[in-house]
Amino acid sequence: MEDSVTLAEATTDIQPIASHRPDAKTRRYDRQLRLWASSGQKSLEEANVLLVGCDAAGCQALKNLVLPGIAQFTILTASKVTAGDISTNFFLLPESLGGSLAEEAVRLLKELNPSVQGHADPRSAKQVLEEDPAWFRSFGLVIVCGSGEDADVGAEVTRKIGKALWEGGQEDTPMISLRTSGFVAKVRTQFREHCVIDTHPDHSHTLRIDTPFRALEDYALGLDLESMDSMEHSHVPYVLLLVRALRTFEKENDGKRPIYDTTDAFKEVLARERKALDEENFAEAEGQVFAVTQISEVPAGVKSLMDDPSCEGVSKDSKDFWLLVKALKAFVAHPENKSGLLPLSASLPDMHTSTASYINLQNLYKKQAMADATLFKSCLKEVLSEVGLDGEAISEGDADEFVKHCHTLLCERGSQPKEELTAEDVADDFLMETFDLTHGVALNIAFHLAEKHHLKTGTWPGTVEDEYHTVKAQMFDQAKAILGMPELGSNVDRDDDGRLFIRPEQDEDDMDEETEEDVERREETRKAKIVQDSICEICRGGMKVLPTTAALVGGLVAQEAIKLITKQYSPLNGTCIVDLVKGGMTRYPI
Amino acid sequence: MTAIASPPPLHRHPSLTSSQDQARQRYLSTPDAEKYAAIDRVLDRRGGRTHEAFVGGQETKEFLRKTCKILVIGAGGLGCEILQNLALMGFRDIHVIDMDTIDISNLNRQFLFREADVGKAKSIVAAEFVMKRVPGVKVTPYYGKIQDHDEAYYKSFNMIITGLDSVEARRWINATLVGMVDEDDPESLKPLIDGGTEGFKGQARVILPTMSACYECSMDMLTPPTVFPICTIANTPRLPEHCIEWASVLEWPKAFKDKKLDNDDPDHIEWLYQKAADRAKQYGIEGVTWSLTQGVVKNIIPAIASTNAIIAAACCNEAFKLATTSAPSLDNYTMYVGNDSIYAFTFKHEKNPECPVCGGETVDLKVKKGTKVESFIEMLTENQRFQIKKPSISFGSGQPLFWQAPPQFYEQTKHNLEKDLDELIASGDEITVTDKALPFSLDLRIEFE
Ligand SMILES: [Zn+2]
Repeated sequence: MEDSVTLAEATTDIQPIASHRPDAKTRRYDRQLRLWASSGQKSLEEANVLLVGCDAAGCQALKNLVLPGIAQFTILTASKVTAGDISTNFFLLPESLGGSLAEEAVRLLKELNPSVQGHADPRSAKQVLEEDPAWFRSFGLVIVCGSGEDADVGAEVTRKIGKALWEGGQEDTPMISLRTSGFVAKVRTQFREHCVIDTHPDHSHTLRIDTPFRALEDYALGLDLESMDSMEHSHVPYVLLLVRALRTFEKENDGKRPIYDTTDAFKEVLARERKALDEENFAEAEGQVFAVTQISEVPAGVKSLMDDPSCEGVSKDSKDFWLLVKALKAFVAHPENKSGLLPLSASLPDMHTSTASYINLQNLYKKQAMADATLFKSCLKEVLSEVGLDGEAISEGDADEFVKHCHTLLCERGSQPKEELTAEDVADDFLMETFDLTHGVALNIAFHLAEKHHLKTGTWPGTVEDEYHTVKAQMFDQAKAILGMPELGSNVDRDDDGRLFIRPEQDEDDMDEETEEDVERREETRKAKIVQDSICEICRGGMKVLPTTAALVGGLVAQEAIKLITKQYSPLNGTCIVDLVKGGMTRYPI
Repeated sequence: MTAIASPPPLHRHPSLTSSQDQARQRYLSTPDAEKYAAIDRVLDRRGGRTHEAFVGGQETKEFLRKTCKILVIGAGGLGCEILQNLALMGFRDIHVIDMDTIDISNLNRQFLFREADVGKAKSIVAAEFVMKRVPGVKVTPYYGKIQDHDEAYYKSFNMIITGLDSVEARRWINATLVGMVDEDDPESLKPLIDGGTEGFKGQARVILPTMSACYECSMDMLTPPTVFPICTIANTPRLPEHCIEWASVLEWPKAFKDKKLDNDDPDHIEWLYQKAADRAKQYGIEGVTWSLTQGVVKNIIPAIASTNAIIAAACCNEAFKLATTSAPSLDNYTMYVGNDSIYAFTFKHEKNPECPVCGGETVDLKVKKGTKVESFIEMLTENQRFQIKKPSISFGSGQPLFWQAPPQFYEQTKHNLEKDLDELIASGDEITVTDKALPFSLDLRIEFE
């Protein structure tokens, strides 16, 4: 500190500006604050997370949440530490053997961040489900482990917790459930409704070149380009050049706006005011011509939110989000808002111009943005009073934040997992892909079948050595039924190991005259192999947890948890399949 | 500086209670088959897509657990995760290189470090931590630069994983490994697995030097660093960043002729912040903050534990597959995007036949007649493919055409800057470009048009 004073004194005579040198906490969290800012950090520091069951993937997820500083976490499991737990889970020690799995893992996870509280709950999830299922809803987020490593959590427990949380209605607690088996894994999110104001789009400018607000249009048209010297002329911001050219173009074309096919004609209009070829501002304007052909409108996503029943039927019990959307709808229709558009954004991209004219232009946008925000807030007050809430029920700061991000709002509605997969569900999956049966689709079915097997028998496929191949064969037949392809695999045989063997094709010589049937059969064999491979991979892993798969899944789960807790960015809605055999990831809505 | 941390003793642990010590001894004497049951599943059983060359069983396990020697470059965000994963997957001979010491801003993700470790060497602390947590693994740290080691050193590993934040270091190790490949000696080919992250996004790739696309093949895929033109910084600042650049690039050298700006010294950042904030106020520009000043000057990339976990795990998964053949390798590039739901994209990056490192062909470059050497040099620095800052140029014969250093050569050749390039060489001639950022010399065939 002292040194800086000397430095400043020695070299400047300016008035000292108050230092905002970060404190220790800000320095610790610096690299993440640059992503979710202090508002996101505040949400994290209030978050209370429950981990049901305890395995390597679950602990890795918690590690990635303890490090950025959630308030507290609890691990619920009655299991004792085994040698297999220690060798796969970094948050257990050799001396943990035989001890309480919850207590040992909590102790080592807490070490990662002294400001995080950790609690071990050595009850079994089954017992809690029987005694007090609502207890699960006392947490902000529930993560349910899904390997076979912790016998305390199986397919049934996962389902029941999912139900218990869902029954919270609008007050439901979001859940992330996982399954891992060797190289493959599945992550699923469950929530009724998740609304996001700040989705972090790439940029948030609304230049409105096609629909300039009054002050912008007056300023642009009022410029006297003719009398400017070359320095000034080459520094007129491109936004203003485009607004001027657009007005001229419309005058000359019966009020028609430029479209994609007439951009050359528009460029020609733009070039009329150009004095020299090396004027960078004109080059920038030319590069942004597409912005003129695009029509400013309320984005489809926001429009559908404004038409949503939750917006239409707001009451004093509605979430702030819906009250704000209702106010936004009122703003759009408000007679004072002549554009019929959403509030203007105050942000302006950098452009080639002088400091003074940039600041000038920026102030035009800021002033309009502020006027829009003021009108929005008066709409909000009206909405609040209509539903019988105090005018201050939503703070000015929250309203400003909402306006800032109102072009990219998001509301995701989730679902409970299907108890039975149907051909129809799977067909939806196909659509997510390339209308093709992929390993991702097949793995999703295979995980579903593995869960059903566990529900029925209490064991996971691939864990009972004697049944290894018979279970695989059963699952293959069940998969055929789900896929609605009873003929699948009719031309393939299986060996004792369950591997597929394709019956010899016709003579190679006949290849020229390949019939439609041949093509179909080849296609069927390919699909059969994908289904078989996927079932095989899940049975191969035997629901054991590979440390690398666990670490990857732990990372995915933590990212989703952070998105759900901070209500920033877009979360996964549904299922994500992780296939580390090939290294890909795909997601599905089911 | 080398520091070898030895594995902790397996027999005595004075801090443990007797029942804990009994548990510890019981775990240590548990047979591998029980401890490694999860990993053995995929080594004893074949998957549907497993390669025919897969042997599995004891032979594969012995190679992984006894023979395989792996090098990790970087003990930072990715490095900590990589070391953890490799140790748990059964790699027992791990080496790690890092030249950095621990900073408080590392603690939100570099989970092998604690507050008390701030200021210590990352590689040494990380190695000790992993050995303490995972019995039986040996992690050998090196606190220093990758350039300190010769080919013989790199040749002693079976494969290399990099978790770096520096393009320059990646280029160096990539060029070194490609240069090491001897066609007659299959052992000379060392797979390189590389990971990188930024915020919620990241990528992982597998490079088989000379066989698949190398790091240099895809230089044009890197997002170019944001560069603000000097005239904007000096004359027409518009953004807070312009004011900060003005303070660091123009004002600092003026005020402190002999003192280099230290990005890690908060007093230096403070000085820049004050300067930048004052200039911003003068011009009516909003948004200069301490945090932004630090971000711009240090070129800080946001980083979180969860993204590092995903990318490091993807890299270690590839290392495990390469060491065991238990599943096919990534071929050869995965991009991961986590900010908008979950999205991953895997594709094969093709070799670039003109790659200056693995392509073997000279790079052709078209240059307009009448281009001055000075503007030609500017052209080179702006070319995304080369990513160089202060190149020196030699004639095909090796004679200097224009050299930035040493001073006597600079004096001898600086007059060439004013000349047209086509005065000095003929169309079709080759020239050689060298640069501090280039771990190799770049041969260009110039065609005038
Ligand atoms: Zn290459």
